[in-house]
Amino acid sequence: MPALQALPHLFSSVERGLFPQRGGGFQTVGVSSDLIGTEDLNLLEEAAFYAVSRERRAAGALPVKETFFKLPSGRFAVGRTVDLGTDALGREGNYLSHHLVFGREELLEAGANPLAILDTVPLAEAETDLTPRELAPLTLDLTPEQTDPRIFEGINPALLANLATRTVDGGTETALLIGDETASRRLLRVLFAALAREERLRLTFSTHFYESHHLRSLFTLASVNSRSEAPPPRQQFTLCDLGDGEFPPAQPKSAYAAWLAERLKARDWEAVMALNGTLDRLRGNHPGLAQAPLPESAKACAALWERAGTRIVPELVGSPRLVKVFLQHVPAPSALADALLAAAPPSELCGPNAAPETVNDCLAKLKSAATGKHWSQWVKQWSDDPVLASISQKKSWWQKWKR
Amino acid sequence: MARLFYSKHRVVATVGLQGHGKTVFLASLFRDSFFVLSETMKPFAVRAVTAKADDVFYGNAQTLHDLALPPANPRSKPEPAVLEFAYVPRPRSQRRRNISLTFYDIAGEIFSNDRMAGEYAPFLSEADDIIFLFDPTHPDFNALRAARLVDLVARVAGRSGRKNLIIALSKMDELRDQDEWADTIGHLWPDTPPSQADLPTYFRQMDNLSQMLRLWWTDPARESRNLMNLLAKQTRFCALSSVGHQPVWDCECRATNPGPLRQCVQCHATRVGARLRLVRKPEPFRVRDPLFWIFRAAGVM
Repeated sequence: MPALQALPHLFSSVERGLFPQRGGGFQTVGVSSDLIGTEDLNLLEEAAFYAVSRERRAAGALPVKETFFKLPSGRFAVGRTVDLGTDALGREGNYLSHHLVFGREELLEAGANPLAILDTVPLAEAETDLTPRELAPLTLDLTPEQTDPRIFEGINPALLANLATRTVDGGTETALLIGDETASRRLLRVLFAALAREERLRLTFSTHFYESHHLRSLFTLASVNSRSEAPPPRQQFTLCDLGDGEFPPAQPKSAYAAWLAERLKARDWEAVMALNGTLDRLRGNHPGLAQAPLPESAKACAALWERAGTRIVPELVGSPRLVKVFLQHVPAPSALADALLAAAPPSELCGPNAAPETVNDCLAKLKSAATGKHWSQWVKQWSDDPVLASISQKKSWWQKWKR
Repeated sequence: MARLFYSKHRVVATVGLQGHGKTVFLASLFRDSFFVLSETMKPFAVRAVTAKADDVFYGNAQTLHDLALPPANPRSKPEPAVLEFAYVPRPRSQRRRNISLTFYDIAGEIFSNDRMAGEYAPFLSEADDIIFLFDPTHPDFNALRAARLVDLVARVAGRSGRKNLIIALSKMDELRDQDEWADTIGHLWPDTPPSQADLPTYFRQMDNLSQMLRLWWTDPARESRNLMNLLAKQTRFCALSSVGHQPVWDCECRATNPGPLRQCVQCHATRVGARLRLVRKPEPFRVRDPLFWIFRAAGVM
């Protein structure tokens, strides 16, 4: 796994921060010079918010808040915020937010799993140096992610499918998990395991959302400890109660969401991980992954075509049976057919060892799916190709009559 | 929101730098109305209308009651905390009026620049009353910082000439024995809450105190002449103490130290992580004056 570059940001209540003209109070204490003066830094400061209910403070049950969100530049921030006792004035309620900012492509290549980063990198530790200063970028060496299918055990598959659908298909509402924040974090971990890498970037989250509804637009998923901690304008949230297992239904809009929801409900974790692996490999987000057989079910083909597009073409070249299967299952197959015609000559497209019936079926399917112009150009271009000989010998009644 | 009583409504912004006492002032203000004025100005009453008001006022009043200080405000856009005051008396009148006030309790550090103030305190533009709280004992306090804050708020609030401005000095318990304050507020100590019959006298005290404090601000030693020249003539001045005594902190060596001290008087250890606490129940001093100025500006008192 390549080393991952991260730009750090520290935020707390101090007497003097990195920008002394601001005086005392909550502010940036340290940040990488690349972030100074950017909109990204403004958002990091806004998101560095931590409030605890009176009851939890009195009980000494101070939660750890973990976040993952997108910045205006397109980069992503992973953060942890912890209670830090008293501030310089001796008041309770001080906290420390520690963010790491990553480039999109680097994050994808590293697995796009913020929880894996949070589990590995020490963030917001009690002994963090709060001397105001510019912070040097960090280079993180993350261990390659190995998803064990047992991670899915004990999770309500219907809830998992529901949240996966909401994450993939997006929307304006934030899903608000109500219940033990540790259970919410576990659910998040499983949800990340269920998504392909690019889709993981949609799964922005906050694990402690108390009094944070002003930050709602940053997060796809947020969690609070109890209903009393849920924000008041609840119509902007989809409430998912982990206690009673109640959550409103989510209707998949995309082919990928439909397939994923179906497989998750069926507890077919192996299929989920296999297709996500294929997607990651096709998109170039996981170059080291070994090639695996493509799925052949109608919904999986549609999902793969929807997400990977023409990047699937090289995988189909040489396998006329798969060409036929995909052309049969993808909605509006002309784009795929045209891309296949543009990608390879007939012999290469159909492979060396295919049975004549399979080749004929494949060509017939290609002909019916491709746009007429592309098909005739392809046939003309490769008229000498032996695979085309069989169909070029068969003249239509019109050609026979014309001659 | 269902209201118990028909009432006028005003938006009140409390403005001050970090640690100058905004949150404790609001908690103490509520406490004074709840426990003291409801007794001396019967049937005067106060209630929290919004959930945020419940938290800011009841919650923090309870914290003071428990001899602790409210936690620091995180930096965020505050929710409106609405209080409804019922049966507000008028001097020499049997008529009682109701009024609801929307308060915003906000972290002081957002007043460090225009962008943050505009972003986090958009309520400034709709505020009818702006209470500036300055702690003259705070090391950050000086004329330049005070004027800078007032200018910043004027820019963000817009049309500040039409707003009811109240300049309040907080934590006066620490200064009341000093020579310059002994004549101004020493004779008013300890605080005497007014009954309806006392209101004319109390108002005269408020007027006199406001004039004397204006003189204090315009004293060449304060270097605040520029600020005073810019403020509208109807700007009111107050001097108050929200808890009436200095909070303390306990050192690990078991010594009890005054709040402002950064090192233990006994073992000289630096105050790290020690929490401030009150040594007895709050005994606020004239914490109601800004509220009464708002009532008077609204025409209900």
